[in-house]
Amino acid sequence: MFFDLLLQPNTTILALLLTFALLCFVLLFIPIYNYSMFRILSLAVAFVPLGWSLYLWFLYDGSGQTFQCICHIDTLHISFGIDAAGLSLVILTSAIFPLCIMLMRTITGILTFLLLELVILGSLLVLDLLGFYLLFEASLILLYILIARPERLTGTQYVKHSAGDYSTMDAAYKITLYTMAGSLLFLPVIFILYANYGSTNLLILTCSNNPMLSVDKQLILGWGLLAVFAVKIPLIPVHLWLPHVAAPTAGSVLLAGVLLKLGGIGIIRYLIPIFPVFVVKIFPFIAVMCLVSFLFSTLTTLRQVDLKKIVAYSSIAHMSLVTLAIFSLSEHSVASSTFMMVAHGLVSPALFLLVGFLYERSHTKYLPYLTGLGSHMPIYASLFFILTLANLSFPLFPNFIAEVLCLVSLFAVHSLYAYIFCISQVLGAVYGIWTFNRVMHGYNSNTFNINTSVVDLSRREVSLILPLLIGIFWLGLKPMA
Amino acid sequence: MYCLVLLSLFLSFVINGSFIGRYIGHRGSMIAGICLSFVSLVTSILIWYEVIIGHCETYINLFGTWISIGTFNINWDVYYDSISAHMILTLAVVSFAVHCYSTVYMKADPHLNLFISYLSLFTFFMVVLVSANNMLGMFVGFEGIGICSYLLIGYWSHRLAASKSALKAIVVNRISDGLLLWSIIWLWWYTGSLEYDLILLNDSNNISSFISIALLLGCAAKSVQIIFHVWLADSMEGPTPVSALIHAATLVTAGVYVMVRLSIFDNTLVLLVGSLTAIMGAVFGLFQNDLKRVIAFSTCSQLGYMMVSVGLGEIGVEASISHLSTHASFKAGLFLAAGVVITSTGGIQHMGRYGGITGSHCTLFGYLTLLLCGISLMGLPETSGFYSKETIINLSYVYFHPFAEYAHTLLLLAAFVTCTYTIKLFVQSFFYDYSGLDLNISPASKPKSILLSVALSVLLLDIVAKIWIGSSLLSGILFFVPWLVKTLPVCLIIAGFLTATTAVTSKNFSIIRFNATRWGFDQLYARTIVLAVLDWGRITWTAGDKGLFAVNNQKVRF
Repeated sequence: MFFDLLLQPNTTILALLLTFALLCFVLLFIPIYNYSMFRILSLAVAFVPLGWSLYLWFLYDGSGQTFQCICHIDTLHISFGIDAAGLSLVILTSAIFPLCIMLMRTITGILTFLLLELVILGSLLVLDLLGFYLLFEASLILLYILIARPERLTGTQYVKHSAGDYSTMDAAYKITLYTMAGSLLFLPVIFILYANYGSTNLLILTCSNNPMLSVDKQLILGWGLLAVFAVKIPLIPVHLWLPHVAAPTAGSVLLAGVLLKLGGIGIIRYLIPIFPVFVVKIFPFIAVMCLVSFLFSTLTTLRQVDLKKIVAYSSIAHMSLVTLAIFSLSEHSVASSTFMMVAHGLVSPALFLLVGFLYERSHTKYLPYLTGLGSHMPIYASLFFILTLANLSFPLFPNFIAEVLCLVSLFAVHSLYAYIFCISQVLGAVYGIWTFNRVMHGYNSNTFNINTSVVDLSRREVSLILPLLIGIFWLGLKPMA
Repeated sequence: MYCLVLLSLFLSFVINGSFIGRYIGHRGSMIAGICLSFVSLVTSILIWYEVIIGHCETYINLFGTWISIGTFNINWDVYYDSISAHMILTLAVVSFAVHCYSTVYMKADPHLNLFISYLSLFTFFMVVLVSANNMLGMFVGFEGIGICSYLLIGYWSHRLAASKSALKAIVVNRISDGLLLWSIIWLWWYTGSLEYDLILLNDSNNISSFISIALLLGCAAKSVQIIFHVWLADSMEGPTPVSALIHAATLVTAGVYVMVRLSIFDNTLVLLVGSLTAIMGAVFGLFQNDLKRVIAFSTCSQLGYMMVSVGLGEIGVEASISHLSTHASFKAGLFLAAGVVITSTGGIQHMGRYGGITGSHCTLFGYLTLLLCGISLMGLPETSGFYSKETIINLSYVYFHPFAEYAHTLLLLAAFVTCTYTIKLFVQSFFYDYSGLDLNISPASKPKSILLSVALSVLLLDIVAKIWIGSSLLSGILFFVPWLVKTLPVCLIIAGFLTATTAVTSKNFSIIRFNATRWGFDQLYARTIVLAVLDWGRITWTAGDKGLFAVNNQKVRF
């Protein structure tokens, strides 16, 4: 009976969230001196959503309705459910969080990440504008702690503090400031929608019995949703919170792998169904913004000297292509953009992990100090090469398939626009290969002691990247199997 | 059997490139590499026999579906028809020779198994390109060889020049790969499929010239056509076996192969681009003093011939493939023999410093191979190069098109210059003794190995075999060519002989400087596009992210 409740399609999502929350709570009762047991158990807990999301995948019928496994709580007027795009992001999220937790070295840090996972899974599974807003903002608090005080949470110091240097605080303020500014526009829109429909439930808002909003209203209210999602994606004028160098590795992995995708899923799930006219009318503007965003970020990446910033800026370029593909509203748009999000969600975290590993050895991420690592760290170099190729969408990697599909869906709308993107992708190759050349080729510099600090990746570090690599190769070679 | 050629090369890559290579050591990786590439050679001969002689075109579904989303369906299929069988045979011959050769040439290298694994991976991707059934499968190989050429050119990664030219090669190639990707999407959109068979069902009169130009530009960088040729000479920084593999049968012919496959999309711009490339490559080759660069530019020039031929209708397409295969074997032979010369002179590549080397110094076999392949390059009658090149020149005369006449003239000029620089190469290195080094008295190191002879003799045998294959092609067109036009190339060759002997002592420095700097293409790009892009990057970074969009700008960090 109880088991049925856990696994029945129409309760399982809620059961997932509640069980996970309960397990996180239980973890608090582990005595603080028993640190290793805490780590092992928390890792085990982190695997629970992964298994559950795979079960959801098993339940999901690809040829069925858009939203499945719907769980409705009448008293709260709130619904949970998954669609195909959401499901793939849920699996991605729950696969990435165990990696982040393995990177954490304090109890506070592990608990922060477990809470973050709960909140983000909640925001992916809830089909309610207000619920999405609440859970999404809740993640911001935890992120603020994570970025502002990384050494408390991870147990390692990521930025060398000098007097008067508040770079971690600065990064934390920025991410809050940008997201809050978007949310300021988002919240009134939720209220107005509630005033119109009497509910913020997505299933009620998009129900075909309800009249659509008038065109004028859509054109005004759409901006509210667009603003918050544009910050999350991020598009160009509001992107500066992303290329942070201060965040710990786990934070960057989380941001690149999961949080950016909330913007994409938000557009697919909320913006397009609720404001269809707005989406169509806004397309020329969005197309220009995405092109500007793409060119701007790739050009800026060319001039970066910080390894982490290079990886972070390249995410902006990828996500702008995702946005463009979604807004093109063609046959392939949802599939291609979701695939791109998943592909980027695997490749970019792996690159951040590699940068983090290097930083732990050399305590620097600046390119001028890093040369000739290829001869001392062959495994690192080959992994870096493979992931760089994946990042610049080399065939046999999922980014390539995603890019081709995105370009196909763009081609359907405007062939010359696709042409511009095809040519500009060379810039991605330029910074990717250039970085590889700088870091791996040449002679080893004497900045850090070769005998002690530069050693190749350990088994633990390889095993952190390996799951991502397996995912990358699987999705690149045989995504349909 | 049909998959064995792919499988053996991939196995060679895995064995040599992974941790297994550490256990089997250098000797083990030599044996594994050579054996597996020999397997691929034998298999490709069998494939060639089955497909060409047995007329048995083969279609294999390897791994089922790759992508299938809505109307966009791609399968992992391979397809062997006459073109791909020819290409695979050519590839396997050159690849086997290069594998044998590189175990000797690179035997002192600490990462020999890595090198062999790169070579195998490169050949693997090339076979993928050739045997793919659809455009996207072809694109996998197309990008793959680009990446492998990056790895191989930058193999001596401690040298700044090597890693710079590797970067240059990959960047130039990526530009045109993007254009090719766009044309692939175009083809999918307007024909509904990416398989060659279905694409080629199109009406050839009903094709937008936009797609033809995009396709041409997409293939131009791989096939070093004018404008995109800049990466070729610099890629000579890689080890010599790499130059033989990349610039002979493989990477540079990939573009021509794609143009041949999609020959209905060719338009007459191809004639113009090809003939300009032919003459340009020849002139550049004449003014280079680096042994390998001369040969590299001769490749550029010969690819121009192939490109012209692609534009000459259906017969021209066949002539193009025929020239591609003959060119592959003699060009690989040239590079490998040049490698022997370079090794035996102690790593000197500058021809001005050779002077009066004799065959006894750089092994007689190597010298004779260089000579024979050089003669084939010039297209002296009854060599393999003669048949294929002569066919293209005659075809360009016969073909009815206003551009074709210009192309014919330019190709004749290029043939003349080709002859001149090839003879100049021999005169400068072997005949005149003016360097004062007198390498013959103190030979540095004469490479001796049975594998070297195997490599060279495989290529020479292939050249002989190509005479048999090449001579039976397209003899019908000679009917339309007047005897004067027919004999003109041979006369030009003799004229080239005579010119070369005097060209060595030429002292017109302004001409030499202008041509030796390759008409300033590299400088033009470096000063316009590259500078502009880097400058835009600076503007977006300083004015945008650190200026206009910055929220709290109290402290500027990087």
